[in-house]
Amino acid sequence: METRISGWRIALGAVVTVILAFLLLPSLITAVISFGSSNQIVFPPTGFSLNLFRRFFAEEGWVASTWLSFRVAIWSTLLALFLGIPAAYALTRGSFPGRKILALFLLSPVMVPHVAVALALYIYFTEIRLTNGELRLVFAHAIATLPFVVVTASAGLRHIDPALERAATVMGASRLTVLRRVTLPLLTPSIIASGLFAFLISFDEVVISWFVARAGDTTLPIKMFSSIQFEVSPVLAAISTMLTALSIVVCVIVATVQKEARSD
Amino acid sequence: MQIRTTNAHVRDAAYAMPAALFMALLFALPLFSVLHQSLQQENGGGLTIQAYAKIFTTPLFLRVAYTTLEVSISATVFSLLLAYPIAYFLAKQSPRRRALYMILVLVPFWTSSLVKSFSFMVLLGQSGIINQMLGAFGIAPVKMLFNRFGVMVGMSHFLIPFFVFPILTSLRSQPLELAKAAAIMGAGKLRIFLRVTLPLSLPGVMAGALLVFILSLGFYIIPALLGGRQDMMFANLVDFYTREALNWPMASAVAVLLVAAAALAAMLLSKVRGGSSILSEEGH
Amino acid sequence: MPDLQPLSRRSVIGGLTATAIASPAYIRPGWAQGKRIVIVNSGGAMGDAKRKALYDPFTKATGIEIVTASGPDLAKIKAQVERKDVEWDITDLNDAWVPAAARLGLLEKIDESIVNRADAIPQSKHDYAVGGTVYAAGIAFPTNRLGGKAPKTWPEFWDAKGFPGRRGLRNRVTDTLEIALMGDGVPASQVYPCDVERAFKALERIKPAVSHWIAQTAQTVALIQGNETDFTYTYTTRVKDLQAVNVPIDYSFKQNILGIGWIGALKGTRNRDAAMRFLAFTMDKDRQVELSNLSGDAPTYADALAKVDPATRKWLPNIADPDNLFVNAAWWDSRIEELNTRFKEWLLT
Repeated sequence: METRISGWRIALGAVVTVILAFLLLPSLITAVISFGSSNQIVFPPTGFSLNLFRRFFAEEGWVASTWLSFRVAIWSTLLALFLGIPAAYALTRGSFPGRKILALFLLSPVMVPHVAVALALYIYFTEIRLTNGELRLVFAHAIATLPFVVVTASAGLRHIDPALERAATVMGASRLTVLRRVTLPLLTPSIIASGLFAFLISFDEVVISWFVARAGDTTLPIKMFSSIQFEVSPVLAAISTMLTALSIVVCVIVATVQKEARSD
Repeated sequence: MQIRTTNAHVRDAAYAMPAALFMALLFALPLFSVLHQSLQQENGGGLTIQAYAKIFTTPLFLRVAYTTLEVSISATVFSLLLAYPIAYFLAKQSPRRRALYMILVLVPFWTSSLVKSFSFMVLLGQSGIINQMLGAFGIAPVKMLFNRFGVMVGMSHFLIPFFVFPILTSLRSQPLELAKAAAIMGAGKLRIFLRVTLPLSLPGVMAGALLVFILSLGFYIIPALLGGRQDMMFANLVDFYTREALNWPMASAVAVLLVAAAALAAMLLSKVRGGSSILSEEGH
Repeated sequence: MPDLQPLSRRSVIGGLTATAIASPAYIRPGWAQGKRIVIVNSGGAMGDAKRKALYDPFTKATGIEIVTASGPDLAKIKAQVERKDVEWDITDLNDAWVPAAARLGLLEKIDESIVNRADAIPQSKHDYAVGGTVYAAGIAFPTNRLGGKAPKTWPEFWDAKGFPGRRGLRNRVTDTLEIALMGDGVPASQVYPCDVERAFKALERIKPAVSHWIAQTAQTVALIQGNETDFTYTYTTRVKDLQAVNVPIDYSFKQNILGIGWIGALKGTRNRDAAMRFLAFTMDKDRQVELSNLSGDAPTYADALAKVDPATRKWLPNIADPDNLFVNAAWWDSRIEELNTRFKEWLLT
């Protein structure tokens, strides 16, 4: 019995290691490229240098694009959470007619190819005279990320026993109080997960952004995408490395905070 | 009592109102214009179904539609095979370690797919690291890129996180006592997994599969970068007609058909047991 | 600012002084202080080169500020013009876009009273766009494999027995059709109007030797580097940049496909006058020499070639060579949709 268990464990561990390696190795290779000394994407690199990182900070537009992407990702994530969490609550706790259709409707943005959404939004934004480029991006990204928030938050809500909420209601708490004091705190991990998803998707989105952005509002993916017609800038490798490092730092912080906030 | 619950249900619906309103104004309305656009004549004039007629009579579209379906289905299966062990492993970790491993699962997101395609070549190419290692053992190089396998590699690399989360949620909502009870009754680990854990996680698998399949339908850059000449996707055609040929009725018609395929997939899956868990309720 | 190209700074300053001394009539310093125009380009090294050789000197000379946006896109141009919401003033244009954009009324007619391009090569002239650069594409090959034996012309590229090796072509019908005809022995001067049937027959012949139908330009050379393929169709600038970092790769200047880097002004731009002045600026011979030094693409004046730095000049195509082929976008304009469908279908079978 003992050997069978450890055999199972070893097999699982080996499989998981291989899959994680598959997920991580390309980023690792990219990181190695980013510290190379040549101004082209070459592997193995010919020497060690921070040149590509320097270029990121020195060349026109990279830093500004990165900031814009961060701003848009943060605002659109907040908007998607603000709209998506209550919607997920309604969809999981309520039982009103048309609930399934509403769910399908809120999830539909993932079903429409981004090129189509892009063209549609571009024409529409122009017609309603929405001229603020950053706002256009925030709205567009909120549409694209809302489904992920709804799905993740719904999954989390289903995980929370409604009996807890009922108990609080029985003890005289108002519906809003229950929501605020019981449901939302329990939902925090899901909110963080869905927010992270929304942020990542917004930060990565290129096709819709390409269309709806106005001149000058160049997000990082737009800048990456536009510079590939004839070449792939090696600065992209440096950006990948910095973003990966940054995401690991942020996630470690979130993970630490999360550990305090929940009792699993 | 009955009236009170009805009121509560109406109140529940109200929570979804802001999202529904936002989506109606900024998504449904613009999308309606795509449908309208697909029924336009190429050079203006009245409504017509000529774009659809052209799609259904041109062999290219039918072939590409078939490829798109084939690629999307196999990418979903391929991603599932890789995502499930990860989710299973994550479910067994302490919250803190789980969060840390989650970071690793999300790392691929931060590298642009263009740079990634180069990294894959370094790793899996004919003279790549893996083939060199195989060569050291006297094994002939294996072609892992620029064919369907390469497409699977590139797509699953992006899609795995979308699969891991729903499966993980599903696995974690299983009562631990079930597996314990089975173990007490003498069932082996594999047997417990096959008879208890796996069936109970199916809702998560279904939800993830739907999400990943629909996302796959819209892929085209990764297949173009890592696939062979025959790995052409439908979204590629939307892009060509939108940006190169400027034939927006055609682009819109192709897009409408893609949406229809996705909606059909969603509907079919919601009929399957557990499939509707993505929409709500009966999750466990 | 790291000194990436020591050469460039010196020549920018040189260019600026030259502009200040001999200002042509279209530049009146201080004429439009505070005015700005929006220019869309493809970014990357070419975008940086244009910033240095064209945009900054133009601002200095006229006071008109230049804001750049990323990614020329014909669909966006169409949408902007049709919705009368023109936010781009100037845009870079691909060869294939120029006739289409002109036909659809998306571009301002070039104001010949402002833009002087009388001496420019005829291929760079269009009623609705100016040609500021000439780029070249041809066969790239590795120098560390196959004993250095590589096809240098398209008939050799088509000779799979004589020149064994894996081939890479693009997965689009434009350029590929012309290449196929030249591979089949058609001289450059007789490629247009293209014999489509003959081209597809020739493609059928080479298909088994083609290992990659490449989607993105960056992949053309990356695949040679990674030993995934041996001979690919790519641009001079790609090979030049890789040679600079000692990658064992070379390029054949025989039977090159030449294209024009077009620039046009969007129909309905609110800064038509400033836009035309900028287009005139891009047709300035000295500016073109400067841009050529920085970008590696050729000027559109035959007599400007001699002024380009020797190190860059050896990478410039000979635009007067009758074996090279200028892309004829007008021929493509009415056929692109049909031929693309046919080509993609052919690729799938």
